[in-house]
Amino acid sequence: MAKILLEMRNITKTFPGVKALDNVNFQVEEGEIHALVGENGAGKSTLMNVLSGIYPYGTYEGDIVYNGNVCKFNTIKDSEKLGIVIIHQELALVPEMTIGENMYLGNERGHKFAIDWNKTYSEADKYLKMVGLSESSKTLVKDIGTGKQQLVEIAKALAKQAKLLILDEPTSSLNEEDSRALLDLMLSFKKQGMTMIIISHKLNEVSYVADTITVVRDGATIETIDNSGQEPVSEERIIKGMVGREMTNRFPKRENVPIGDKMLEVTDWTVHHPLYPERKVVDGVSMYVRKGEVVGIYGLMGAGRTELAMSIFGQTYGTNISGSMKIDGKPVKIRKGADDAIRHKIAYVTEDRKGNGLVLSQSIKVNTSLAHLDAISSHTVIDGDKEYAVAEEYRDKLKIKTPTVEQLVGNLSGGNQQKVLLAKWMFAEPDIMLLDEPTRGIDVGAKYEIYCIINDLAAAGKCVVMISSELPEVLGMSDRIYIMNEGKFVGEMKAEDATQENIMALILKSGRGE
Amino acid sequence: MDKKLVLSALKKNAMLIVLVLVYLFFLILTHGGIFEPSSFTELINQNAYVYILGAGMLMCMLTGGNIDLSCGAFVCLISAIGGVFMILQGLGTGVSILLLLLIGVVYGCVLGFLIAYVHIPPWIATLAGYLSFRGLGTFILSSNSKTGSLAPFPADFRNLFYGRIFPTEKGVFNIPCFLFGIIAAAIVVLSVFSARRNRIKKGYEADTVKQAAIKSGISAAAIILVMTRMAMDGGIPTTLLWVAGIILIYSFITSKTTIGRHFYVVGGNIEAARLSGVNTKRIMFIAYLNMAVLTTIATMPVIARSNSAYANLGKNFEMDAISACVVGGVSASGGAGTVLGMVIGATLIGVINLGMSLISLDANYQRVVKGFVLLAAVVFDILSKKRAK
Amino acid sequence: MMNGSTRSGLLALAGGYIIYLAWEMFQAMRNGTTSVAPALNIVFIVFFVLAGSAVLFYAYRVWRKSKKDDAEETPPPRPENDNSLK
Repeated sequence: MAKILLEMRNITKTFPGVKALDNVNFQVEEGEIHALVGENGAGKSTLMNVLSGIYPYGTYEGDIVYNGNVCKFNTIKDSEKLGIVIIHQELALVPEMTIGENMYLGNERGHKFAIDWNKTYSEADKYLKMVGLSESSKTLVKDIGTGKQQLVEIAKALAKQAKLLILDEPTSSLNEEDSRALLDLMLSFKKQGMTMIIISHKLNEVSYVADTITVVRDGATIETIDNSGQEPVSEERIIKGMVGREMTNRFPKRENVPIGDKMLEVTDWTVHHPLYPERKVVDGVSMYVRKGEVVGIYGLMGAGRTELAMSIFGQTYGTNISGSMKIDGKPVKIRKGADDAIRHKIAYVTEDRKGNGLVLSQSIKVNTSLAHLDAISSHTVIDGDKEYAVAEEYRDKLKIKTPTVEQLVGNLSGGNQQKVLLAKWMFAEPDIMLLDEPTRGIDVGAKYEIYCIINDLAAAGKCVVMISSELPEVLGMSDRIYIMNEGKFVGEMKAEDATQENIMALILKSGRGE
Repeated sequence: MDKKLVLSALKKNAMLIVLVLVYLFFLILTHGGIFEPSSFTELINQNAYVYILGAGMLMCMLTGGNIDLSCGAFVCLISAIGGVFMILQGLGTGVSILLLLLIGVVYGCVLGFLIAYVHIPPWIATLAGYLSFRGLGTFILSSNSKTGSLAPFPADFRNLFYGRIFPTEKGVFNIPCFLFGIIAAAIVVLSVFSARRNRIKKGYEADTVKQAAIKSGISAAAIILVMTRMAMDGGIPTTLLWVAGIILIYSFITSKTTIGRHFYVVGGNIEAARLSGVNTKRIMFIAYLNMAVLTTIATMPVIARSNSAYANLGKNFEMDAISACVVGGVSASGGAGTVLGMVIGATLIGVINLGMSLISLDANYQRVVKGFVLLAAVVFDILSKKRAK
Repeated sequence: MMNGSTRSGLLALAGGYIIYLAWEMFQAMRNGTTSVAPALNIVFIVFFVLAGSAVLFYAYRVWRKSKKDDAEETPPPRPENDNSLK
């Protein structure tokens, strides 16, 4: 039995009106990789913020015992002094600075007033080598990719003499290859005796890398699963703990939805990059969607899927857009601007709900009505009561978890935010819904609910285009699938013919065909 | 439970409470001088421009913390042109005002176009005006007058912006003014209770009778108090009507109309607004067009009061308007803030300035106070931003 | 987002104005148009210069942070495949 490095005892943390953590107990052994999984809003991040001193001692109840001592952290600096270093989901690097400057930002080498640059860079290079980066520490951060930036973050943590490394969703912005490399790096650190806590939604990664898995649900630790055996714990087993019930079917069935006539048809659609007009982002795409149909568009990041959807949605992306569009059999020309697209009953539900989907500083009510203010106003005067009623209706319909629709959207969890985003566009009463990564970054339970909403939309005769880079989701939800690669459609399949293998084969073939 | 309610009410109305405390402070310091009828008239006349410019600045700040640096200098330019129109050319008051508004619209369109469609950062676009308008105004003044100032303005113009409605002698109780106060107070009480009834009828959460009574009672009492004091000073100042009209119009626009909503969402997340069908460029355009028009309107009570146009007119007006907004809780990063907040902020600054001039405080002490108020607002903004995280 | 950088602009304005007030106080003192005791006056002037500079510095930090956030929030340019040119 290894020594217990960290123990959090009976931690309770309350925010006004909410108990975010309720009597949580959590133990980490020295030298292990401990995974923390749970739905969004379950309290994982709050727990880690308590640990790292972001919520100072006194704002929570309970004890943190680290290395046998009870700790009272007042700032993040206090916890870092003991070697507890947290790497947040969002990278915190300054792109205009060099790797070395970034690594010692706020932790400068040398005297108080004169930074010793030689020391900075030579030490930085040492740590970069440890994480397997061959870049010089004098390279600007903006010149390296996201995957390498993540490694720089880790090197930065090592430079702080980390003994307990906490990684919050370290792979959420990495591609498959970089993710795997990162996980392997974690395993090699483990061999050297480092203790790590990883928070992740990607259960396959968790079962690959973790020795112990602790499931958090509704602000409490539900169970701790041992994963050090030969056979990795199955994803279903973890999901069961996360949602509190057995998920027999991750994708709800759509039954007896009649598929009607072609609603949206796009022919020979070509879009150019707004900054480099000579570059084609979408190249000669032709597609159609019928009423009551869910069409999946699968492609890797950068295949041009978002660009395709946004260019259909009132040319909100791209220049020099050519091609023809028919809605309900009639050729249409949509003027530039989202308002005209909305008038033509098209909705685009963005992949980036925080960046360009929601107004986080405003209430659920304001966000819900935003795309269709005309419906709740007469002569540009908003009917406040009607707006409230509409927001309540959608809160009910989409099961948005909130005490009141006056709640600011920024205070909601990812899944609930996604529902507000969907509510906004459903209230705009579109016939055509372009959903871009509708389940990105949300937990299993909320995903299921979103799938149900998609099915309801199809059953109501809308046509749904679902863009996704999660292959199982595309396979599970679509009636028909388009496969996109490098701006072109490289294949079209019926759901019953499609398999993971033949879709990947198509993409690989098209890549080689160039 | 009750204690919690009181606490949250206190928190919500923190600036209002500060205003009352500052007022009481000066009440003692001036031995009641700030409660004299003339002080009330003075307060509104002295600060009319802050309220009007504040309304415009609020709209600009809502779109994302954008400001207009040129408004003070534009006041100077408009006053110079107004002086030429009314004093030298002898154009009628109505014609002059229309022409001046037209100039405001033209400047607003140019400014709005540069900011919204050419994407010049607002502070750079307005800095040009800040640097050039005062010089232009001074040039017009000095080439038309030996003294470098134009005076006096016609009487009908001054009556319109610096007069009294149904004037009576000072010290004689002015009945129309008092009636006006009673009616305004009644409207406030009625609207609070009818809104409450409406909410109850539709089954929404509503204030208790006690809460509604306290809320409307305090505002009604304040209105009647102010109007009875003003009644002793010759009647309703016309400035008050202009200011009240603009405040009412802008609170309605910001809280009840789709275009007002668009201002808030553009400031909250401009990309989300664009993808939700909001014409974000048009909103930016309107913000600055509106600002220029309001600046022109704000110039009227200023020159009517000073009765002359001179080179230093409108100096630091932009700072006053920005301070009113920031003290009134308008977010420096956009998307949040109300007209009512701005009004409270402007009144607070006005009361401080008036109180200091009443006790004839040394100019340097006045600067010290001004600096501390601004520092407090900055600290408050930083703290609220921190807490938001 | 533009918000951070405009907020820093406003803060810079406030900081600058506080320093400007200190300058005005200095002018008044030099011209002898103030009755405030010189020693006290200097204390205020120094305090305002320091406070104004602090606000300016904070504005700079906000601005730098907003630049950093910019880089975070706009996801790194999509690996747009150059093959599409061919």
